[in-house]
Amino acid sequence: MNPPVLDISGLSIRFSGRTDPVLALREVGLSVQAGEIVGIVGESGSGKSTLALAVMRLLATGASVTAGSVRFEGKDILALPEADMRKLRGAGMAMVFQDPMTALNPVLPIGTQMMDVLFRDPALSRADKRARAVAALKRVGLPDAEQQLGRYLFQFSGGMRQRIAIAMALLQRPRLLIADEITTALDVTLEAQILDLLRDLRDEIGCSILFISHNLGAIAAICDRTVVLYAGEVIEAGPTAKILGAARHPYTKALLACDPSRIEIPTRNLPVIPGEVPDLSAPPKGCIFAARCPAALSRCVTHRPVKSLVGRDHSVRCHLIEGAAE
Amino acid sequence: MTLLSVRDLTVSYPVRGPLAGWWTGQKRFVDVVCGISLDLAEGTTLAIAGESGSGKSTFARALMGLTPFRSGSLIFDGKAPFPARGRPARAYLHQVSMMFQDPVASLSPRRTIGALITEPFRIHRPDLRNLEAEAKRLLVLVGLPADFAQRYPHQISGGQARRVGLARAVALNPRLVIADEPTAGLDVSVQGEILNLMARLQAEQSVAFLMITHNLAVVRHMSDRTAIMYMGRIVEEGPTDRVFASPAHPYAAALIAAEPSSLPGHHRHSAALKGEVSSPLHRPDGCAFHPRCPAARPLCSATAPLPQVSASGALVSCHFPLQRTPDQ
Amino acid sequence: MGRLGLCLVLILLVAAVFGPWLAPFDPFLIDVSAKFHPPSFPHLLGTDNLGRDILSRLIAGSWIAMGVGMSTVLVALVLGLILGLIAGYGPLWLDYLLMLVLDAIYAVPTVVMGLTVVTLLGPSLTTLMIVVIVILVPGYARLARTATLSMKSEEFIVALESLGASRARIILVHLLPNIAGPILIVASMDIPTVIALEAGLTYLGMGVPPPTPSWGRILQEGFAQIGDAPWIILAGGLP
Repeated sequence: MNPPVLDISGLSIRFSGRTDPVLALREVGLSVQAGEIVGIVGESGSGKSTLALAVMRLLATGASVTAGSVRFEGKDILALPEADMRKLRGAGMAMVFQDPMTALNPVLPIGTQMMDVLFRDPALSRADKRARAVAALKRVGLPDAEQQLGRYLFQFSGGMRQRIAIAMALLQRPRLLIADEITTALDVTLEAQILDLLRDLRDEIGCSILFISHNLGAIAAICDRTVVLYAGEVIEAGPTAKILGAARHPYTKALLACDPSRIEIPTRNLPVIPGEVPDLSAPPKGCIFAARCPAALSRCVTHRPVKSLVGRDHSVRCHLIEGAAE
Repeated sequence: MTLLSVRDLTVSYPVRGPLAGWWTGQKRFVDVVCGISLDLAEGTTLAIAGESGSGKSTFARALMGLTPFRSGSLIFDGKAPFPARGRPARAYLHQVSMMFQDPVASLSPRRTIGALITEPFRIHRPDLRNLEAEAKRLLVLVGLPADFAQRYPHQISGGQARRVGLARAVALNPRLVIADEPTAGLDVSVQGEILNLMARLQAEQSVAFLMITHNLAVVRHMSDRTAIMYMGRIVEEGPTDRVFASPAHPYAAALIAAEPSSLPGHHRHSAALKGEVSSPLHRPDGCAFHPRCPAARPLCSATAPLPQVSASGALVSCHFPLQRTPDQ
Repeated sequence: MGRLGLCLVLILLVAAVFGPWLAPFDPFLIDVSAKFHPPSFPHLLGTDNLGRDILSRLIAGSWIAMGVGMSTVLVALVLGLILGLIAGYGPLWLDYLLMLVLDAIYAVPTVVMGLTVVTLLGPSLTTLMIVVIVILVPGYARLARTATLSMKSEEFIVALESLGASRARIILVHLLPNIAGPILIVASMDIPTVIALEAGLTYLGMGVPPPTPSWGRILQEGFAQIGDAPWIILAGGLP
């Protein structure tokens, strides 16, 4: 088998600033195979955006990788010189953000911005670049692509803006697309359209997608595999059908139980997860979820559980599962 | 008993283009909310659902007198609380309050939480002296520790800011709270906490909620009646269970079918809805939904449909209401 | 750089507050026998045409400089904030009216404005302060108005309107603390400008009348003897 497009192992990231250092990610591991859509699901503060930025090596100053590696097509990108990394961004991996209005330049026409992305390719003439931009816009379903090149971002609706952002990310045909909450600001009908688009793009150009979202419905719709992140740790990972249909970790179960769309009979007493996310400047010694876990044992508080395999490609970090396996 | 009754409410904004009305001297108007009629019973929840651009937030602001409306009428508790252009009577704002979409941005950044949640008392009850006790009571009511009174808005999380917003909205024991996207941007676990809290306050104080949201899963659980809005009009309004079980308007049906679910084996039906909401500047003739409607016929682009009672007992504005959802 | 600036400000403040105790001589003491002393001991910066100690006069002048600088900026700041808040949050017609008046004032050159007011009211310390305030207010009002306009549509202001808060309450309790910060910084940086302005206007004969020792006055008097006693004007330019 070819090496995975993206292989993260043991990644730990620390933020240090004026306050106590925060251990935002701890020993995170995941891999994305060629042509695969992998979902990262987690609530706010789980570190999912930090993970995305770490892969792009775009972390803010103050954040440092304390352990682990990030391999892109077998190359350790954390060791790559900045110049090589810059070449990789866009051509090898590209990122789409939640709000295209802030991620793209509002005072440049979209055509200019798209052609700028291709500046590095000396083989392309201006006409070629233009043709590539038009083709990319057509590909994401923008009507009258040629006429739209001279327009500005604010002249488009929310759904179209996100399509333009995706077209721009795909211009250099990256092998990995990182989508960070790209449907969060969209209405359901537009969200469905964008998810359909992502799936088609994957099928057509075979690019892998790392799909980050807190929306379980969106994850269910397009991800082949799903990684559940809680307070900076991967607590469960596996095929999406298994994660959403036969979750093993108490946090995953609790998170799914909270989703109102899964509750058939209307209720005004919705399930919640009691307690708060732990303070990551001093993460607990044992299991990260122990304090809120309904089934916590004494060793959950004292010992950190190890990753155990509970099915094909389905791993869980939980003492209760270890016990069951013994 | 009907608490709030809205008839033919229309909100319009003047069109401001480079030379709009410069030559003719006439102003063009675009109707953001056009002709909404609704009734809300005391102590119940009515949800207004729709996509962005449907005018649901503008409608909420018009009810609070924050946006003037061009025509229509508003009856609260048997009286008209304010004229179309003008500030609402203080007595109305005493009984009606609003929860805003962005929980942190709706709190004055340089005031403490304690000062913020007692602001309604400072405005409406200057006779009240023991504000500290009131602040404590409200914080406990919404499940926040009492020492939160000393904190500032930027020191609390989004979910906590929501609770503060709710505490401030119910401070004066209002009879109606207008909640604009009360769970937008919240994680599912926190979303449940806020919704449960709202349901509890309704049960205890019999406050009515007018909930504006795009989250249909929330609507299904929380509201007694549901109104689906499209381009400034209500296309379907009825008891929540009936609207969800058998939506009669093609847009309502498509919206409900497009709702994502994380249940394995659930397939959402997005195919029914192509394209995006038309610009209110170029409102389609006839039924505003006809360019996207899978069941549109020539009549739909010619005349706008009038509301009629559907088979399920909901009020539907469609020439050819569905008998059953297409996907069942 | 910051520390150097702080030291200089501290020296000025100490000189202004403890002036009477620090000054080696009485700044008003005329001693004709000691006139036109070049800098030497005990007259460290020399004496002027009336034999008055220049260092002592400078120290005494710092009190006026600081006092005039700070108090005029403070008054102008308060006036500017109030006008700017009213223009930004009040009714539209009032905004137009206030901006028209303030822009008109802004358009008049400083010296012309000073000459006009002095002609009308006669030269005195009060006149000088009024001139400076009138010059400063439009700038602060514009800043406050712009900040208010950008904050007016913030959701917390809309939320307050929905609670039924009065205009005055929104302006004073909620808008003021949010817009005051940046304007306060601009105002504090204006204090030295105002001191220079005071010296400049006095030098032109519009400010503090003699024999009050102000920095501008020292310069003006020194200018007459620039050929015979250059140290007077040099020392006067020191601060």
